[in-house]
Amino acid sequence: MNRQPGWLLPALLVLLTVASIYIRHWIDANEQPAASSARALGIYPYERPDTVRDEARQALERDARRREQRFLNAAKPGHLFAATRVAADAMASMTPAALYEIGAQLFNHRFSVAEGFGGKDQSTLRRVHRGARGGPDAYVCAACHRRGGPAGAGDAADNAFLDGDGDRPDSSFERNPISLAGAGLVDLLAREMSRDLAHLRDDLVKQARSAGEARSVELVTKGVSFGRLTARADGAVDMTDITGVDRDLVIKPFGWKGHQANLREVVEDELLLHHGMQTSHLARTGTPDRVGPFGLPDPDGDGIQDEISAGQLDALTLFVAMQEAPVVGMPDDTNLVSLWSVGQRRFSKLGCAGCHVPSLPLESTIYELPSRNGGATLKIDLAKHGAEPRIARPAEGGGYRVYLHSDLKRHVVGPQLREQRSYRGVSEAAFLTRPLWGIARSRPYLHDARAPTLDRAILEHSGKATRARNAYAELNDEQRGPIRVYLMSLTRARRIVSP
Amino acid sequence: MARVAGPSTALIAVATLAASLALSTQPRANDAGPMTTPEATLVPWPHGQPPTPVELDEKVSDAIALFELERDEEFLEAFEFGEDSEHIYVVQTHIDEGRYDVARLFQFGDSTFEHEFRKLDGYGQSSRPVLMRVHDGAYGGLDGFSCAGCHAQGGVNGAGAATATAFYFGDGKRTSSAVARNPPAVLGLGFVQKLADEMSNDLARVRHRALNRARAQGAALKVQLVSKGVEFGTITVTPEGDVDLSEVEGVDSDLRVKPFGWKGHTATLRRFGERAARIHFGIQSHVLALEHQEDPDPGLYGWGPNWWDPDGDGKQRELEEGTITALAVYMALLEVPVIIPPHDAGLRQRWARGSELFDRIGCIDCHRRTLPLASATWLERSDTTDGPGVALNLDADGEPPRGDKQVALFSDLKRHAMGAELADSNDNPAGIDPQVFLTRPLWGLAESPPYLHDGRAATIPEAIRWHGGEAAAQRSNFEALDETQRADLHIYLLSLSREPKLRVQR
Repeated sequence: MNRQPGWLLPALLVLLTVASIYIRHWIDANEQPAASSARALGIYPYERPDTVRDEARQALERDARRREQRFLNAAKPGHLFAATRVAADAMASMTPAALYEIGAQLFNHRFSVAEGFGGKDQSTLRRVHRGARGGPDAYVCAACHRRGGPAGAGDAADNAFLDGDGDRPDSSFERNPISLAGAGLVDLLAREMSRDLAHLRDDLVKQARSAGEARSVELVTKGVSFGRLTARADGAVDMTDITGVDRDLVIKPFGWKGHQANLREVVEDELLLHHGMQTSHLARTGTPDRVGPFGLPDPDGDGIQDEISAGQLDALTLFVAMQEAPVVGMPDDTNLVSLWSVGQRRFSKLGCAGCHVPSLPLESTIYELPSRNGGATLKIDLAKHGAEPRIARPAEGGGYRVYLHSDLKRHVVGPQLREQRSYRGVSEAAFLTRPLWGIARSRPYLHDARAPTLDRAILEHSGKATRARNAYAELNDEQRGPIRVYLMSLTRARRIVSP
Repeated sequence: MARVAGPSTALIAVATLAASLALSTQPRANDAGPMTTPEATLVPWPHGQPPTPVELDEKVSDAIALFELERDEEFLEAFEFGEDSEHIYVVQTHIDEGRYDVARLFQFGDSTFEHEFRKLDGYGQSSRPVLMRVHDGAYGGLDGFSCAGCHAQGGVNGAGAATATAFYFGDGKRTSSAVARNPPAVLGLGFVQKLADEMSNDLARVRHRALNRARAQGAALKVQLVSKGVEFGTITVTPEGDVDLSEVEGVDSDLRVKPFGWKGHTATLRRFGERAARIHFGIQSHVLALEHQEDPDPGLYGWGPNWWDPDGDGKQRELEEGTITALAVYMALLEVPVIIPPHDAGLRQRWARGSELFDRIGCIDCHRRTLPLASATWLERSDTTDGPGVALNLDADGEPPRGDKQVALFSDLKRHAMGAELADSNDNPAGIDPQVFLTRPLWGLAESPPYLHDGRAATIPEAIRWHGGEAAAQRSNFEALDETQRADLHIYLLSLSREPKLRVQR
């Protein structure tokens, strides 16, 4: 038998171990970064457990993962950001849960200079924005959108100072961060309303042309009237009597002024303004006053290109669109419940519900995000795959209703709320009817957070809302109470978190 | 000696190689050791083990009970406007009479910390706009409605985000005229206050003894100011009782260690809480009003026609002295940050190396790991009554986790010059040099980004690189480390954290 010397085995093992370590290094060194490393890390789970104990356990688990991944990120700088760097063309094959979690990771990510935060010509932080370029004034989306649940509202201290001179708050538009809960449903409503208005206009033009005389129509969608539209025989449209919407008849439900229609563009703009994180798309299409003076391919001159990939932008957009719907949480006390009912009726009777329309009907719950580069459109059915709690058909049958308490229309509510100048084409005192769902979790109130209480917020209304406001003001506190109790029930699902 | 046949040798060898390669395809933390379990299934529990169902139920039922109480109060407040303000109304004489125990005072303090101040409470001043982001001199601004509104990151009573940065001592108009201050976490402050108090007593004793000795010897004397191993320079005393303070370092000439504020300008939680309410909410305590009566200072308190209502908003006694006491008790007893190392064995080795590096490159010269505490008890006395004071015992009354006699705060509680790059761009009324800051305690560091006084650093390495002045050598040492070592140190610093707790997001 072929005998071997005693040292051979250990030597061989040592050799093999060394070789394997070498190979391991080699594999590491050649590991593809970027798209292939994108993955959900289990820090922001999509599922919502049924029992309190499971929810608590999940909260502690995600906190444990958050801590460990933070250590890993120190060991391997860029690890957390790379985990969000999803390839746009890979997204169509991903589950809604995976898309949501990657978006959530990005929403909670702390952008650093190494990843493209800020720009070469920008100071580390600038609290008051300089024109359309922005701050940067924050490192994390979730640091401001934090109250009452994921992607919630911000405190007064989190107010942004938009489009200012870079120094003086009073040169800017002061804006309190809005809760993003239900944003996808709001987007869907607005799209259906815009579609309706466009149909009305197109039909009207056709009718006027074929009749050879002027025709007019009331612009009504989902029971909300946007004034009258008149078309002349030659097809020209007279817009003078439209109200609460731009001349393009596109409902723009985002921003306090109701000036943005496209959720992806909102997200893209916020990344730019608050963090100095630019997409390639924006780098290509943005003007220097927005993206910076250094030209392509790195207009903000910080040495980082493609700071936010197309896939990251889409994941973040979907995360926002998939946000849970706010809920109604009744008081436990029976006496308070009866007051709640009184409040609900009084809310309508005083005229609050004239603009804060309790609910709007929704035809389809399918959120669509078309590809910017010719790829597949991403589709999420918010009734099936939105974050819980999600929209559901009414128990008594019928179509979907969104209980947002808004008509998604702009109203002039000055002079008390009036600003010094118009913002992105929307006049000084005009604001979108703020949806009131979740209002119990979005203190303080109004666009600049001036109102710490519901009472104050109501009393600050004027202009179009003067009558309802005065009707409220004439009540004594005991009569006002039920309305506030009703509003306080507009809340978000209870969520157990750590930290 | 055991002999092994050829084929077996080859098998083992192949198996070894296969195993090594298999490991290499797993997500790996670092060179010291691979993570052997996929992230999705393994939970890296901070203390090694998951909480037991009993622990879980305990933790969650507390959180839910608190939430439901607050939810009820929300509805009550909605129904009866002003109801909330009753939860923050504490009269000092009632405390003096012993009407409330420490636990109840803690609750009052908690309510005050969460309370959203409004006109009814005396919020603001009638002549000012609703919110005023940039403060008007020492008078302050109006930039928040509640303490909790800003102290919110990384858990309750935490630090503030970048947006929560306040603009102190400005012209009321321009952020560039002000001194930017990011809110630190409000944790472990009882220990900090007590440490500083003991240090102040030590320094006073050094001075007192030196004076006695100089008088006895009939000759001038130069002595070192040392407390808890921290050196504060020297003083020279004469037999006539003169004290030369020109060589005192890192503390004011009153030799009082003031551990609160980025500049280290406030000595007690009472004064800190009272001042914060005044400058952020325009809520004035009647203790301040009494000071204003004796020594009117409209620039600081306001131009109201009556001393009892300096800000002239028609509301006096906006903050009861008892409420200040409750707030001080509350802040003193809040949890203490803890060190939670990584779960993964490989990361833990790197954590240990990072800990050594923290010492070796000199971070500990100022960021002292611990300071020894002689006693964890004190009497929280009022300012205007002669009550017995509230007896506090940090060891027994504090919210867990509690600290111990070696307070692991990672600071020497001394002021240092940090170089021109880090300096404030404007002066402050306390007259502390723009370059000079108190050594920021690092406990809880991982949960309190962004870093530095104005929140300019998103990450810990960025923050280290902003150090200069007295810390220039340490910064250079850090930069001289290789990439792995810097990461090790970063890993270590990220373990300065908080105990995981459950709460209902509000």
